[in-house]
Amino acid sequence: MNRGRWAVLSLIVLAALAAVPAAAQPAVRIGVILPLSGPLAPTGQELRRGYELMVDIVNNVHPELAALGLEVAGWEGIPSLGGAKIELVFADSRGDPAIGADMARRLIMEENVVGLTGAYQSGVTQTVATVAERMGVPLVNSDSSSPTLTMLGYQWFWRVTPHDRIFDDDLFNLLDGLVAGQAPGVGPVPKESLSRLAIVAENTEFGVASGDDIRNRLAPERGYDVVDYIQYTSNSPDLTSETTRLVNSGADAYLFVSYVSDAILFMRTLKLLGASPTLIWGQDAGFTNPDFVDAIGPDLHGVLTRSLFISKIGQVKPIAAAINELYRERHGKDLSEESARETLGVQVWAHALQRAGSTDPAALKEALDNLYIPGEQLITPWEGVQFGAGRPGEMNQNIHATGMIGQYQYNPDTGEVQLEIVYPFDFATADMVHPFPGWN
Amino acid sequence: MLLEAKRIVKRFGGLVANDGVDLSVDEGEIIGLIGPNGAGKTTLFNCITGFLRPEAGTIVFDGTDITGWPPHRVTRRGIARTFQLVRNMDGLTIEENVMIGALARTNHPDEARRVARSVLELVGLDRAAHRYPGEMPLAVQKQMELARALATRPRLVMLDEVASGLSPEEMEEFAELVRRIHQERRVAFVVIEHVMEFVLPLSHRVLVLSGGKPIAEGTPEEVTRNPAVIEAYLGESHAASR
Amino acid sequence: MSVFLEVSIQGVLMGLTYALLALGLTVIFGVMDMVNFAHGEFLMIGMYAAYLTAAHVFPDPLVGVPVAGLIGLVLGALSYRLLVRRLLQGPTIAQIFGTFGLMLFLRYGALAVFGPNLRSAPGGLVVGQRLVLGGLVLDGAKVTAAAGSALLFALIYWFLQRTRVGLGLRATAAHREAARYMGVDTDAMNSIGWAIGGATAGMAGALLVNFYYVSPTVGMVFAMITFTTVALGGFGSVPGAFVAGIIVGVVEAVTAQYFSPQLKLAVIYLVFFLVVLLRPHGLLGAR
Repeated sequence: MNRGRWAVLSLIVLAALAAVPAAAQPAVRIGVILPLSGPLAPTGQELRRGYELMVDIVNNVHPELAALGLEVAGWEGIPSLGGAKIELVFADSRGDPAIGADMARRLIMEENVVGLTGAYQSGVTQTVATVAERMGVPLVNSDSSSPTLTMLGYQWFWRVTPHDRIFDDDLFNLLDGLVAGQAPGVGPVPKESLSRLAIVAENTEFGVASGDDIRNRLAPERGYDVVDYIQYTSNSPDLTSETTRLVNSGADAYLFVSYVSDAILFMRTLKLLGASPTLIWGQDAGFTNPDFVDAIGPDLHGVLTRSLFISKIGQVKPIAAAINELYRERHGKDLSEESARETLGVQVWAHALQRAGSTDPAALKEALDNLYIPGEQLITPWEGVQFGAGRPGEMNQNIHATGMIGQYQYNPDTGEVQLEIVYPFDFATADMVHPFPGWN
Repeated sequence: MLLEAKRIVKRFGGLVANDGVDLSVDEGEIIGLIGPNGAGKTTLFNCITGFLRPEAGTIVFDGTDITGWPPHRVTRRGIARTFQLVRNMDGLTIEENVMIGALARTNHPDEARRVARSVLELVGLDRAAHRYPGEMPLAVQKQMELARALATRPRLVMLDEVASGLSPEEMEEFAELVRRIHQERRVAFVVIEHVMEFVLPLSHRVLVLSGGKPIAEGTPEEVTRNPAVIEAYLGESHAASR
Repeated sequence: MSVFLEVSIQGVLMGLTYALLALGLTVIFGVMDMVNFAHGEFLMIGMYAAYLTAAHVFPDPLVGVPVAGLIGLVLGALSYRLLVRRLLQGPTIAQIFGTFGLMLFLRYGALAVFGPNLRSAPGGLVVGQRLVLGGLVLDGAKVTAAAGSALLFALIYWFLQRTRVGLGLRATAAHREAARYMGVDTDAMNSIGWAIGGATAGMAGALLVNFYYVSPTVGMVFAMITFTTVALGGFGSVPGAFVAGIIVGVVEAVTAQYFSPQLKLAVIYLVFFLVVLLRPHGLLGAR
């Protein structure tokens, strides 16, 4: 070990010794399970930065945020627990459900955590939730989107963020809103110009679950017609035939559930074939990937994508701008969908602890079940956080959670492609471009 | 002396296949190499042509020590061979097979094609030039191997049991062919053979191997009268009859 | 124009690209009876070479074609000299795992060097160009790749038929030992086979960059279809790879049009199994 490291280490030890007398209350430990190694490691790190940001806001004074109405920014710990700080204990799931469950047990039994959060992939979250359920420890989730997680009747699982069916609902809310003339900058649109839908979905769980939900539930409910439902194999060498079929379907709106590689090929081939739908929408994933934006560039003008969080919301919601600014100071970039998710998870934990005034599991459960955080305190456009049943058979889902829909807009003056918010309509950051203007 | 192999030793595990074998070939000479099965004849061929590296002994060809050279260099130096079991390059026509041989001496495919045609004419295969060797009778395949060897412009050709599998008439034709080539091109030959009717009339001199050692050397007449040779062959036939 | 004809033409275009991807693999197999599992990664390196040339030197991946060919050539030759040649002394299983190891090394090496991002050519003469022929819209980039494929096939075929080294390669493929005794330096032929395999893979990659994204794992996307093409055409057969590539492309396009895009691969493998049942060595395979 070199001298520099010794110096750093000594400083840390000294700081820790100095801190002990000041900390009147022991910290409240919360276990975080994330894929910190393996193929999802970059995502795991991004999620981790979100957790750490909000823990910092809760544990330390942030008057500029408190002034904007963010309660936790003025707390300096959890007031009802004598100012106890929140301490996160990270555990690596490696993206494996079995390891995730094992980590959950260890965190509870060996690390004395009062609760859990994580674990990103729905499959891992499910096994972690099983452990939490059996051991009676609260698990607050803000990063998994499989609808089944809140349909299993788990008493100890709460989800803050929307699941995939809510995102699908958002799409149809947007379509209906266009018809009703609610979309900013667009007058009422005849429904005939939008009613014929074609779904293009990759043929694994992600694509098929969303595709089926749109075709079997939403399209019939809202009176739209699915004229073609193309399932394809992701990472194919060629998607010309799929795209040709899509164009030949004569659909008004193209709805994609695709990863980035396929999204790039589809857009390129659509341009080549001169496709002219009235609307193109992507279900997050590939459509929000920066590589996708780089590859397609100005041709993206008018393309829609759903997302949980678009940092532009700061333009219409000051609290989001302020939190985003804090994140920018630390990491040199805007909050991403991933990091944004986890700030919400920590915020919910802080409110639950404050309300419970105790780390007793039963008290925490009671607090979470009855929690309410008003929408003004959130970086998202929601009315608030409140757990309940959004639909029959569901429980402990944040009933106010919705997604956002962004639209890529090209500014010829700056040469930049920006993702503007067009839904929820109240939070739009730009007029919507409709119908799809075609290719450059 | 064109080829001088001295005290060649080659072992395979415990078996000594060549145990101090000498073989010398003069310019334009035809040597018969005979002996019972397992006498080490093919092993000696393999050592000389570079497929095997002898443990001891030296091989000098035309004044150059070629001991341990890889086969392609030995070929380019002037020693060509045929195989006991024909080794066609299927997928290549007979002409192309022979061109490969010719390319050992020239970098120009056109030149190689000319050489191949003339050699094929020499062995009487010019009409089959564009056929594939695999579809031809065995005698033709053996002629092609000889043509292929000749195309490398060798000064020494080593024939490994060319007569096996041929009918008496084909054998006679093949012997005629070897004689004609010998006369027209002054090429030396070393001929491994079991069929005495083929090899003895052809050879100027005969070397007899048995158990990896030379047991006799001389003119065909001398060798056939040699008691050690008779013993070696009788022993073999005794063994075979048991 | 009938839909069938239109679909078939699109299929032939993509099929020629598949054939081009298969060319280097079948050359190496022909010479050495050895499957280069790192072939997809050779392709990937060629793609990066063309992409980086386009991004930093001259904004057209076509300029990267010779660069990628050269890099592929060196990569192929070095792979043989430094790795494969040594593996030949070991058991067959070592050869299989050897090139498999090379595949992983190149893939994850590229991941470390270039990062996981997907990159696309910034532009170029044929990038995104539409060719309209009587109601038929063709991708100029794919037409270029198909033309490049036909050209490279003709070149390699001529090379194998008409040149000294080409004959040496064929002789080595036909009978290694006999070739050695005819003066062919078969070790040099192995090197040349790998160099050609690498160079054609590199150029194929460069042509792909005109219409495909580049990523460290892009080799995986093409590996399966490439191996299938080689097997269908007959391992080691150059004309076989050409014909098989076109068959794969057309079968894929027709299946997607008349049945379902999901069935593309299933039908290709069905055709593959039928061919292999009737002709175990592939359409034009020797032996």
